[in-house]
Amino acid sequence: MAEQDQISFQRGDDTTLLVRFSGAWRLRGGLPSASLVDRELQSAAQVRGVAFDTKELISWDSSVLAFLVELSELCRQRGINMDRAGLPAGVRRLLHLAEAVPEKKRAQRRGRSIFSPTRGRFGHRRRRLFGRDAQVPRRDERYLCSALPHEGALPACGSFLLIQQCGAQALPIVTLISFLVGVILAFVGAVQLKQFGAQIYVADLVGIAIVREMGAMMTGIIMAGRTGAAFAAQLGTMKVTQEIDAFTTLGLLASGIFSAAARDRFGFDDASAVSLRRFRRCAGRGHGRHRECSISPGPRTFARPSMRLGLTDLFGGVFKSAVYGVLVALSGCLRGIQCGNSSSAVGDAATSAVVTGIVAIVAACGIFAVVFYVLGI
Amino acid sequence: MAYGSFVLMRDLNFTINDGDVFIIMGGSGSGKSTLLRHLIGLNEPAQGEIFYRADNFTKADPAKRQEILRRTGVLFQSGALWSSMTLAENIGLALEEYTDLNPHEIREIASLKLALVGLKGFEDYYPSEISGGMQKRAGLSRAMALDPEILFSTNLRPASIPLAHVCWTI
Repeated sequence: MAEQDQISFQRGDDTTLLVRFSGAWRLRGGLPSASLVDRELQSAAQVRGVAFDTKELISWDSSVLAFLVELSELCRQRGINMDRAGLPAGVRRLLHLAEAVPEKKRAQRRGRSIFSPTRGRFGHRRRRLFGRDAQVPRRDERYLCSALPHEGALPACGSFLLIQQCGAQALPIVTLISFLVGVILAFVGAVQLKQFGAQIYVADLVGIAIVREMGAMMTGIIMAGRTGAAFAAQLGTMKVTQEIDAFTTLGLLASGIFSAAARDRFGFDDASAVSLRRFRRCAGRGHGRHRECSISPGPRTFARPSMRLGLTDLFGGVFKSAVYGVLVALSGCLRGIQCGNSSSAVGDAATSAVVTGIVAIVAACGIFAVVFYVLGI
Repeated sequence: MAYGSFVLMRDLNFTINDGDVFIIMGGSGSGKSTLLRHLIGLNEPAQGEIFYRADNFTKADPAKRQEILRRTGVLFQSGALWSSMTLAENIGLALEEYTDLNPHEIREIASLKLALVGLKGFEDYYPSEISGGMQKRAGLSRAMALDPEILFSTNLRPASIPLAHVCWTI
């Protein structure tokens, strides 16, 4: 680390401050601050120039450059001349290169979504919440990195953003499907049960079907089509554009990244699947009751005291939704990683992820049905 | 080097010394990029070994490989910037992972690296918001983020990168 004792100061004459560098300056350890020089300059107000002595500088890297760039800006603000003659030739050349192109003024960006991770209404709110310099994750690549199995755990704000992207933003489509499934179940059930005078059980039919099976399964299928395909397409595109190779060559093992990513996916898929399923279940039940009433508005329907819906059904549905979330995440990540190196391969990967996810969910649903039957749940 | 039973190159044997600028030239499809992928561990050689100084890269365990790879930087042909991160974040990720720098210092280094390729002021831009040539320059910055001992490039002198910047990388 470039410690303070690697910089020393000497007053060359009354108006020049000599900054002496020594030792090895390495980026990995940290950066000294130009405020060290600033304090020296404040203590001697008559200083009009800064010079450098690097005879004892053993080795250097970007840490020296960053320090000098900051110092250069400080000198410019104070109107102090910076004499670079004492710097190594390589440092002088790089400083010249860094200053060769003037800074571009930031262009105004327009048309940002309010859901933009860094800008827009949500982005600014999160900035205020987590601080301006907070390393706010941005979409999946950032999360892949954040979820690496080292000290950098996935930040809470990243989880929140993932849930927002894959959960809350999927609510409209899930709601629509829920509404339609609820209506279909109610109509089909009412028509059939009416033959036996058992319309009163339509509510049970819709409620139990939604809570135990259909809620979790339909949400899982929707998530497979929406989120699973998105995972596969994004990972596939990253592969095509060599972004995954870049992760690997950075020393972040791809296998580690993706296994961590998969775990990450499971987590938020569970959460979002559960929340969506709850939302959908309510919608489905509501519509089921409503339709039942419209078909057979007899007093017995309204006199039905309660449905035979218990906590076992509820927890069974929640458990299934968690498993379906895992399957969606697995299929999306797996097909994305297996993607080829062409644009058509990305499309194939997305398609394959959806198909794999749906097949896995339906198969799991069948297995659950058998197991629950055997266990008497 | 081989893809399955198809042998692409055989009897490769070369040494690159400190300070060397080692250029591999050849026609399209001759295996230049494939050779590079073998050198950086993205592909495994069918036979033979690759050494970084005394370290056997081919037979190294994953941890050792990571350690070796941290001493290298790779500039991919298309830049391969992570599209959902800003340029500063692209550069800062490696610094965040492998140094003890705080966020302010990381930002400072990222700005410096971008300034060295003429992209000062573009820290908060996403790769999709800049031109292809600028993306390559930003990719060069990212490759040099950790001041690597070895820089690999699949395209040493693309037309969009000024010669001065290439000299800096060398």
